[in-house]
Amino acid sequence: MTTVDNVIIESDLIFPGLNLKTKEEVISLLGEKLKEKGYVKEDFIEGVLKREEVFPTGLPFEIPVALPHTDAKYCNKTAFSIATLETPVKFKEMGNPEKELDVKMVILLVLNEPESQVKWLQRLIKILQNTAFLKRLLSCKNPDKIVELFQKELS
Amino acid sequence: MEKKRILVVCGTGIATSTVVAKNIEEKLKEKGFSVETRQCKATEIKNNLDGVDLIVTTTNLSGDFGIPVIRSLAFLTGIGEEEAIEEIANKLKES
Repeated sequence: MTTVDNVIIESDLIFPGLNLKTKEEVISLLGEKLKEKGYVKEDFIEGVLKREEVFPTGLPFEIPVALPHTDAKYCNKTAFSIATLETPVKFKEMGNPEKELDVKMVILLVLNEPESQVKWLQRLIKILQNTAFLKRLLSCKNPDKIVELFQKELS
Repeated sequence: MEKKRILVVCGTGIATSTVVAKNIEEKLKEKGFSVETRQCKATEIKNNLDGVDLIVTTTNLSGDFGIPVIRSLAFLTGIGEEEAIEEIANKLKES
């Protein structure tokens, strides 16, 4: 396990090239692993899915990305889990629920101390604006390599 | 110029609003504004309006809050950021 600014990133939490049909399937797969590791509480997945319905997190970057997350009370650690999607999955756009985006990457955020993670979140958003970096990530199928790419960009 | 207060709103009041708030603060300071940002959940706006000049939100809000509301994803995606900051600056000058 490695951390950047106390945020956990590890290859167990990276799922490259998934072929799933719905956002529920993606969030559940990532969430189960986080539960198994003890990073989140028992009802984390329900919390994320419920929030996603009311406040969707699809973001229209040049390559659409979704950043599902939920309240700190469901989280034990600060971490993030990443899925890249071979088949894009529909997420509603943040603030614009009539619009659906074909999302190619899902970053599930586990934030138990968001106030102390401002800088890190800012950097994460910045690197998602970098289309060349996103393309490199999407073509990478090796979880260790993806961890390395993120570590380099985030620190 | 007197200090302006901006309320930044998102679904949970923790992740995206944090990033948007920092980003707006930095960009407005570069333009010579003195600003203070505050964040909250979409459901808690009414309790956080005291002294606020403007609302910036990443989520859909309904209702009239008596101050300008700007909905934008530009501070997350980087697309149209310059235009969005101009719009905020103009509204603040009027307020």
